[in-house]
Amino acid sequence: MIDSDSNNTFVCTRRKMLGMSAAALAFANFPGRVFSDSSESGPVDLRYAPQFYVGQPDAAFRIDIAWSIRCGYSHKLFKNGVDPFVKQIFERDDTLLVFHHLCRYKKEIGNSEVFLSLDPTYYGPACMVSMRHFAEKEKFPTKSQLKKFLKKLDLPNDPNFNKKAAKNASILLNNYLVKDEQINKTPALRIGQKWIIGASPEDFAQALKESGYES
Amino acid sequence: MKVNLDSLQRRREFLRLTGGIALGASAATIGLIPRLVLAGGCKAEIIKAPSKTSITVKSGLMVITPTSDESQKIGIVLIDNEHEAAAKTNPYKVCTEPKLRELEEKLKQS
Repeated sequence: MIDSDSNNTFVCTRRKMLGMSAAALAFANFPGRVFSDSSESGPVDLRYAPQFYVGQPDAAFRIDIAWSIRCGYSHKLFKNGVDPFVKQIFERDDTLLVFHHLCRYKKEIGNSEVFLSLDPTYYGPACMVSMRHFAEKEKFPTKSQLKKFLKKLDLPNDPNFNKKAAKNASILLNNYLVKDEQINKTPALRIGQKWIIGASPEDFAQALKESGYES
Repeated sequence: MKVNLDSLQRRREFLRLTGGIALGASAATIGLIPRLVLAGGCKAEIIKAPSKTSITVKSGLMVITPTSDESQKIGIVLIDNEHEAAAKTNPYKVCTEPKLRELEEKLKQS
């Protein structure tokens, strides 16, 4: 599996380069596969659930989105579908949008920890602006790049942050979505009962239309 | 308070005690199957619920929304196989328009 971290340090042998090119081609036309961890995650503190929502929690119409900040297809779905939709939701009271940070790579757990280390009131907005920023730049941030980006925003951190608990929660959510919900690629979205795996902005628009949602 | 979730009535009671409502599932559905099906398909199989703030489940993930007077709060409950997890609401993980705008402004200025 390709790790985005390796894109930044491009010192490698010809064979390795060819291997990476082949792997890149293999992934080029398909949404990203997601890792799951066979080990048990250990105790989980609810505070660290890598999830947030936009809209009304008791709304009848609910959309779930499993996203990865290291996935180009998640960037596309976000930029051309979800982000404009979120702006509409703020003006309505009949919609709930729940975001699940589904780590595409094991190293993306580090990104999740960075988000979760913030003051919880900034978790959702930080995820939103980060997705917007890196989607526009077409970059897949490493943990340190994400940290650097969020530092510019000067956001308050959680003084009681527990890294281990955050990691456990991120792994648990990944395992749950991959094993129980059968989501093996990012991004995924659900309107009603059915997940659309590897959803595109067009899939999002179509699913909204089929659900009878009036925008 | 000890809550035994072996009957439909008790399951409803659990939801009432936690201030929760089942999203994407009717009470009848909850009563018919051994799992709580919540949040548009998320599942949590309950083994025991020793108090209104604590339950033990086999596996799963569920979302509990609180009563309408606290409509801005939502509880997202992650539970693993072995550990009891508090079924409490988490008031923090919401993305509101003012907070998002605040960050957008900060980003413009940076």
